Amino acid sequence: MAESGSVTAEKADVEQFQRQIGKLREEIGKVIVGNREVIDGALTCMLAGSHALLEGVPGLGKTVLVKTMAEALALRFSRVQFTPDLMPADIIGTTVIDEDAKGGKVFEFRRGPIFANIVLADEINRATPKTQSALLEAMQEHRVTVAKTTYAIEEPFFVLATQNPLEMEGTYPLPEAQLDRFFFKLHVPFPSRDELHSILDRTTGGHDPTVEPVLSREQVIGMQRLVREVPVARHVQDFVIRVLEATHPDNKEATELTRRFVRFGASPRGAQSVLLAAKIRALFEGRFAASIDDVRKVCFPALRHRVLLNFEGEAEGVKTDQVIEEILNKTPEAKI
Amino acid sequence: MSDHARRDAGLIRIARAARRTELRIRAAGALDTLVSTLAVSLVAVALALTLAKVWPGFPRQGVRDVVAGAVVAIAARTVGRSLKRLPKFAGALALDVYHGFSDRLTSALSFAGLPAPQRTPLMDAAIEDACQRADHLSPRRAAPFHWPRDFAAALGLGAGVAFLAFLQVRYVPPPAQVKTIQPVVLSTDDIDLFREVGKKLAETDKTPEVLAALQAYNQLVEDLAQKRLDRTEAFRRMHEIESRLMEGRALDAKELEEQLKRRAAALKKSELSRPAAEALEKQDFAKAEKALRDLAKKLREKPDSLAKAQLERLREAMKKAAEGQKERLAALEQRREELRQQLLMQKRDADGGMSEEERSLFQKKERELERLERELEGEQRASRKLDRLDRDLEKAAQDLMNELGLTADDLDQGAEDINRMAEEKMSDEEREELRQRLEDLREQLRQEGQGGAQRMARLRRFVRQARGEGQQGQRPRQCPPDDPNCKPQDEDGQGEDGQGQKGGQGQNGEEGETFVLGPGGQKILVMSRGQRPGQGQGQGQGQGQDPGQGGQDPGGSGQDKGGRSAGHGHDPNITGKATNPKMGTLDVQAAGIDTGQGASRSEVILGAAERGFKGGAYKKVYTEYRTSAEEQMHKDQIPPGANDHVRRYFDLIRPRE
Repeated sequence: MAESGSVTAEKADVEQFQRQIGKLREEIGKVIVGNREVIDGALTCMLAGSHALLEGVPGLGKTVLVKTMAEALALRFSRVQFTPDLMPADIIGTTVIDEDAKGGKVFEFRRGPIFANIVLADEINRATPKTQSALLEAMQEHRVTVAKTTYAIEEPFFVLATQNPLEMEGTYPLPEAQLDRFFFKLHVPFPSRDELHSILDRTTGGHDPTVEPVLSREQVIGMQRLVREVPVARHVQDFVIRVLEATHPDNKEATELTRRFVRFGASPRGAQSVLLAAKIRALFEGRFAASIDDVRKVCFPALRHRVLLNFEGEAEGVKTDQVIEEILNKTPEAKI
Repeated sequence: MSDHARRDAGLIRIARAARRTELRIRAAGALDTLVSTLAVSLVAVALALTLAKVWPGFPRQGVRDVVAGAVVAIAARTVGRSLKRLPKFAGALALDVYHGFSDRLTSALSFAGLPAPQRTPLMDAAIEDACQRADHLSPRRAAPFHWPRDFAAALGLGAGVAFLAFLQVRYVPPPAQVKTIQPVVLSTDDIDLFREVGKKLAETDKTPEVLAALQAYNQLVEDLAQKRLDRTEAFRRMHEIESRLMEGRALDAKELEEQLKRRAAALKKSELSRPAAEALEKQDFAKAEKALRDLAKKLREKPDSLAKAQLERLREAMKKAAEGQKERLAALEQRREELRQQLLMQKRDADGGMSEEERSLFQKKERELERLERELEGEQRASRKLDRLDRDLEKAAQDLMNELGLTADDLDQGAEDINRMAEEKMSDEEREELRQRLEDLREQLRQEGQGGAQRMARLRRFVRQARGEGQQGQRPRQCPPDDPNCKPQDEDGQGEDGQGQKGGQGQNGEEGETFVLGPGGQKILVMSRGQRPGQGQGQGQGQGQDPGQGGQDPGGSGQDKGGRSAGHGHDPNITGKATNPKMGTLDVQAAGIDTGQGASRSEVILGAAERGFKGGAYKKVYTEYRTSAEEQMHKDQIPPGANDHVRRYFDLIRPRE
């Protein structure tokens, strides 16, 4: 029964994963009203060991969400408010001259806010491209090099960047190459009427909800490891590849909208994100393998910032979500 | 049961259910294809049936072919669709979708297909998870049979085809299209002319060929009159008649005439054969025949009356007449041969090139050779025609040395030959006449085609006037102021200008009473009463009609030409007493008399122009003029291109009956 025991253990791991996620959602839910998809998206990014870009108008609770997540996870949290005069050193850290115990002068590296488990990069598009690059390099490499010395960033490392889509003046939109480094791009929607009632009840009363840490750093790393072990059947992987191909206007799988309005399709990194996110979603639901349904659900946040519209698409106000939706509708689940 | 065995059993159940589902998917797809193809095929069958019902020319086999093709197409497409490869795990995916298993079954089958070492614990967990759900799988619901999407259309089309199959369409053949032609329209006047020609030619005896051609000609004219022919057909018929005429036509009439003249010249040398020779020279075949027969009679009945020298001269003359042509032909042939040899040599010499002068000479000789060949050919043809006569003359000349009776027989035979030639000549003339008429007809058809309606209208107007049916009769008659018997004619008077007697009788003006000779020798008293000479008194004038009925044109018996209308004024020599108002009056009836001494040609023509081309005088003048014109044409005094116009002109102004 060795095999059977292994299966039982795996089942237990998956069940525990599901439980832990449930607890985490519960804690976050004490502060954040609704926004289940945004919360799951942020958690997915964290469990995939990657980063998320949150887009929404001011006042929708983006910062609160990140802060609450950090509190619930008992991880180190730092927040950087991006401004045009923000310098890379303000994020990464800088070397200063200090005195040692003997009174001698020594160079000492003072770590910046990037050295945290959860980093909130608020209004990332307000900083100059130079500063943005410094952050994005750290996001990709999970380490920082200053004065020929490399400093590793502690795992788990999770950056949540926010940007305001309305105020475009005086901003530096992220280039496509840098957008690609974000695992998900999450839209924070305006709350519904019921959700607004709850928000007002919670934030204008005397009761101040307290968030308890429910997951340790080790547990998060364990969960990240389990995610990587989730199997994917060939037909699911094939579906992901066909969807990815369909985002390219020159590909034979391309749909009508893609051909007309898309300039560049998603990169292979997009397919990685989709598949990894599908695995996480399968685990969220207590399944042992990712399915095509999972792929369908995660395609929007994983691909919407990776599919670039052409001039005609932008002029006609086409949304990338429309393109992706058409692709998902027209791509058969199985093909010879 | 162990976990392993349980898992295997579960996988088998899943695989079986997936296969069944796939089969149902295939069957549903095949059914869908079948119905779709059936609908399309029914459209084709309906079309074929409709065509077969409404179009009688549609082949009966066509419907059967279409039906057979439809059946084959349906079977082929259905079988093809049912055998079409399905995507891998299509059945399992359908089961997952129906049961909401989020690909658990498909993933389990996929993972189970991997070798055991490659399977991870989570894969095994996934397989076990799927197996736990394998008990209640429903392929029937996962792949249900729906009504094919084209079922309603196929059903409707099937009903339509059935209806069409039993529908009886009565075929009403379209009414036969009457073939219409655009007929050639000739004026009745022209038709009359061509009819007259036909009648005229039919009056004489003629050869069967000419008779047949004449019948065809008459039929053509009648068809044209009845407007039964279009231009193409008319021209074709004319060409046919002409070809028939040309077949039997004797060629080289001129050559024949020349040769006859030469024989006549030879025969003239004997006083016995001179009458026949002179007749032959004039081509008076009847006279020549008679002369020869007379000579034969003389030789037969009164041989003693002829001197030997006479007979010898006759023999020489006949011999020469018979042989002269042979010599001429031989000379011509020799000349031709010499010329040909010269040309050949010149051509051989000129291979290196020839000067301009040499080339000119060479071409001149070439032309001469051609002319000689033509001449020789014509001579030969004419000689063949005269061959029998020559032989008779030659034999007569020989017999003259032996027995005069035989010579007389030979001369009789020669007379027969001349008679035959006379017939042929007449036949040729008739043919030529008919051919000429056909040429005229063709020319008219051409002009009719070019001129169109306006020309025809003009022609009709002209013909009316030519027949004396012109508008002049419509004009109110103006009476002379001094004619008390004249009544002005109404606007719609019926008088015919052409019928009237215009020229009055003329007498030198002399006071008193004068008798003139009237019709039938009757004396008629004419009262001149100082009127001017030639004053007209036609009957028609007095009746107020234009013209009167009894008049002849020209009338009058006077020496001077008749006046054209009633005179006025008085004789300046009047010296008589004033008229006694108490004296008695005398009614005088004046009438014109045809004495054969009528108006001049120009007056006749002027009168014809006004009243129509009728009357004996006009006919006479016309014949004179036409003969003169024909002579001029014959002498080539008129450009050949204008001959048709001249003939047409004379046809148009010909006398009408």
